[in-house]
Amino acid sequence: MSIAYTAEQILELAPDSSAGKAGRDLATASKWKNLGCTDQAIWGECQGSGANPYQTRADLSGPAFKCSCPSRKFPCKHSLALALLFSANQALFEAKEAPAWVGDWLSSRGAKKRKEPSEAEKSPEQLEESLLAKDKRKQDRLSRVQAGIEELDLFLSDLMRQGIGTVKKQPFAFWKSRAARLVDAQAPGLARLVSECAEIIARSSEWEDALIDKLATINLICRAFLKLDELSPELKADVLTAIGFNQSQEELLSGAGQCLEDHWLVVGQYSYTQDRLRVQRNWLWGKSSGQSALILGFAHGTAPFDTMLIPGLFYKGELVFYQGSLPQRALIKSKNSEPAIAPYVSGLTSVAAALSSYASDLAKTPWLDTVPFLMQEVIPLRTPEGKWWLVDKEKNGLPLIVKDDTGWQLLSYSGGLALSLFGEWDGTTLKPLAAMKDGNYLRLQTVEV
Amino acid sequence: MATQVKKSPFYELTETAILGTDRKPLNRIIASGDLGQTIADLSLKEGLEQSQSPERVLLDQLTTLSIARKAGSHAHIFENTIAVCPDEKKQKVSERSLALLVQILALETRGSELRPSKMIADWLIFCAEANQRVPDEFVPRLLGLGKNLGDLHLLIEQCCGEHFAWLIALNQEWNTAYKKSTQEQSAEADRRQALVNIFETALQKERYSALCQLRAIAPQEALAALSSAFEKESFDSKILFLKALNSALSLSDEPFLEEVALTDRRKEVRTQAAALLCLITESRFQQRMIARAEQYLSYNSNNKQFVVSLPDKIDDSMSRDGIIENLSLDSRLGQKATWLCQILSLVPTSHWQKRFKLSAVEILKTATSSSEWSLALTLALINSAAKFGEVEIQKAILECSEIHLTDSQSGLLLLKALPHTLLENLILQKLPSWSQKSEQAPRLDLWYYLEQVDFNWSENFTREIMKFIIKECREKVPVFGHTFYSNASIFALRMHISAGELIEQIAINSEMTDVYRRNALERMSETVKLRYEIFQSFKSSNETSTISKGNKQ
Repeated sequence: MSIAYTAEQILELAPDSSAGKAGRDLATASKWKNLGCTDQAIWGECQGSGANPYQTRADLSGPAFKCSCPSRKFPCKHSLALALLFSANQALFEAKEAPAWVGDWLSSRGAKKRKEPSEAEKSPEQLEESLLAKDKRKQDRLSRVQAGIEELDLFLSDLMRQGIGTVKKQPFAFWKSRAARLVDAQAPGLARLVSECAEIIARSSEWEDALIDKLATINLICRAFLKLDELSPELKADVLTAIGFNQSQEELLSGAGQCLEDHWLVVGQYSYTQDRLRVQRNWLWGKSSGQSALILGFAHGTAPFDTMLIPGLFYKGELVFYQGSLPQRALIKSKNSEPAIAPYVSGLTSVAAALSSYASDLAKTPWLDTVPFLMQEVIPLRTPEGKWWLVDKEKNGLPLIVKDDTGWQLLSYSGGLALSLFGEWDGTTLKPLAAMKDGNYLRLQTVEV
Repeated sequence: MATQVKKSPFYELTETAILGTDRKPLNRIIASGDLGQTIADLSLKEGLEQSQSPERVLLDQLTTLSIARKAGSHAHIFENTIAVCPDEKKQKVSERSLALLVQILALETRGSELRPSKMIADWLIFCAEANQRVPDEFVPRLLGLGKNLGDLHLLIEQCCGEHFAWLIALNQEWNTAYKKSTQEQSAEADRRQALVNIFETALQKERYSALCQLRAIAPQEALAALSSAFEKESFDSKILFLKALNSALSLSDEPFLEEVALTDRRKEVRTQAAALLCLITESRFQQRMIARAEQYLSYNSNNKQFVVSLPDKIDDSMSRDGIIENLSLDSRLGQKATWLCQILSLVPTSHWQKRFKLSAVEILKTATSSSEWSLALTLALINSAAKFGEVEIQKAILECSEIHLTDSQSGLLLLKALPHTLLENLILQKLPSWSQKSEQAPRLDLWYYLEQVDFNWSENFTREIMKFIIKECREKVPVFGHTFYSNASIFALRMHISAGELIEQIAINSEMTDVYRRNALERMSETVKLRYEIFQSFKSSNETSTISKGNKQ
């Protein structure tokens, strides 16, 4: 079998640290029997507390896992252990024909991939009816959003009249109730931005400029929405996305979105919780195209993310980009692991070029939240005041927002020599997500901002 | 007249936003450049439409300013960069070894158990022995981890390669923490001075450690450092620092101990000084103590009994020499027996051998049969054997079936003082007696013996103990008792790891209903397996590198 992940990469998939630890403990040959593999999959049986052993199988091209154990965690400890065992000693896995319980699963996975979109199964009449209903729903929503934005506009004007100096004393509910009204008006994107205002005030001592920037973004989106009909289709899509309109994944995959095939490196990944929803941000970088793509994953509780991507690995596949003037968010149309390729992609070689690129992105989408920066030949350093910077060959620096531990890790990894660094730039600071050097990839812990 | 600082028009905008248009009306902005022009144009819109209130104009101006600020970010220019780390010469540890280190670092600490720190030390020792280093990105984690663990500094330095010196030069906190170990490697004189400095300025624990180190390399300088500071020390510091003089004791220590420490107003300090003085051969104190002991103890060769005659009360000279009138030494001893025990404990047994012309075995036998004084005499001999390290009496005590060392504090002290080989032999000798015929445990004594001694067991000894445990587990239903959990955990940490392969033979099955035993065995098994895996990971990576070197040649 050609695909082999490192133990570290497999443990990245663990839903929590205890699952990872349990997986490691189970990854010994004595706990497994009937281990086997084909070019596509690996499998084995692990004796648990039940009478029958658990049947565990993995399609490492995904990777994807399935286990007969009752665990709600995904991947479960048995799945992790199976992959870890394969990573440590492939010789334990006998190359043979897959048993029925593996073959059936692989077939059902293949069938799911081939399944046609449901829209295509509808008759022309049903399709027309469905389109009309959809259009009506959209118009209704636009009206509600319009009303919500007008109300928000009044709120912002009041805020300017009273001064933002007064909001420091306001309770969290001051912003939360405003955000709730926007949720009612079906503008969740704006609601999120309003909620973030409360977080800015709560966490920072120098919050005024940050709050003004956030209010400016909200104002800009509101103003753009009120002139929606005058905007280009791309900008219109941007505004609607910023407000919280979802683009139909089905439509995008069936041809509405721009499609790009490449070898994609998972160059950065982190997750956070937002309103009890776990969000995973995966940044991909095209080896040939130099295009970046953001794949978002969502999950509730301990449920797995719908897409499993391992940082530092290449995937060969097709991505479909969401519509907008600056294509960034994308969907995976097809993917296959390419772990043999060393993690290297080319990026920007100077801080000036990066800032200039950001300025031109901002010109296209002025409410842009963050942009990905892949900086090459840069050196991390720490000032005597304890601030972290990324400095290029011309001695120009970008400020890093990083935990001290991560900063030292990055500095030590560089050894004072140039490396490549990937991160998210928000207009004032760069949040590093990964560093690359000599064909090696280092994932960095992110700081919650 | 005070000069007014002219504010930037953009600053004024922010100020208006903070104060509000009610308190600071929006002024027309006059500023140069494209940004200034755009903002000025927005001002002109005020009042043109119903929606163009001053607040709305302010919002639009702030929005323009915000975008301009983001788009116009300039890079910060750095004049200096950092030095480059020298090339690494050592090979990186294998992925497996590193994964094991990560696993150890993630171990949960239960109570005050030693497991994580001992395992980390183990890992570092194997890594240093294999002449390998952690990956570059892992060095800060190791430095952070070990900054307060002075014992690990040297190992950490070895395991971090060139990155160690490079990084600690960049981090003040690490630099301070690791400076000591760097100093230790500097010239001898510098090192001695550094230790004196630490003793003079640091906290009690570090001072004690520095004094011990100084005593080991320069006994007289250690004595001088302690003498100069002694009077100003607190009583607990005095006791602690006196213990540091225990090594390399000589007659040159006598004046300080006799004239300063032994005249201290606290009896605890005097007792500690007495414990040291009695170890100095031909010291005035030893001679006084022998003369005193001879006065109170004699031997009747006719009935082969010791004869004890003690005074009614202790005099000033006894009190000055650290004999405590009301000492609670052992609940079975009366007041006078305690005096006797204290005095005789400070006299080497070899003195009595010469004086009474008896062997160590005969002295012990006589002591145990000396009716009412037998316990005091026996405990005194045990104390003396621990203090003076005389092998003949130590062996005699170990061979005496009437003495259970784990029954008294003195016995436990002797266990700790025994040479390792002697103790290992003692335990191996006793093993069969701990294996009982009934369905019971190897007696708790085994674990007491193992627990009392803090050193790493030899390979042969570990194998024998492991085989014993395996056999006991297979053949019986041992009741190890509630302390077995900690006993087994400690054993797992101290045992010689090359015997780790035997752990698989310990039968732990899911039917075990005795939770204490099962948990303890599982814990022990987990610890030994992890230690053994670390050992194997370095062994195999070393073999791989040797093979690859061989192939190259």
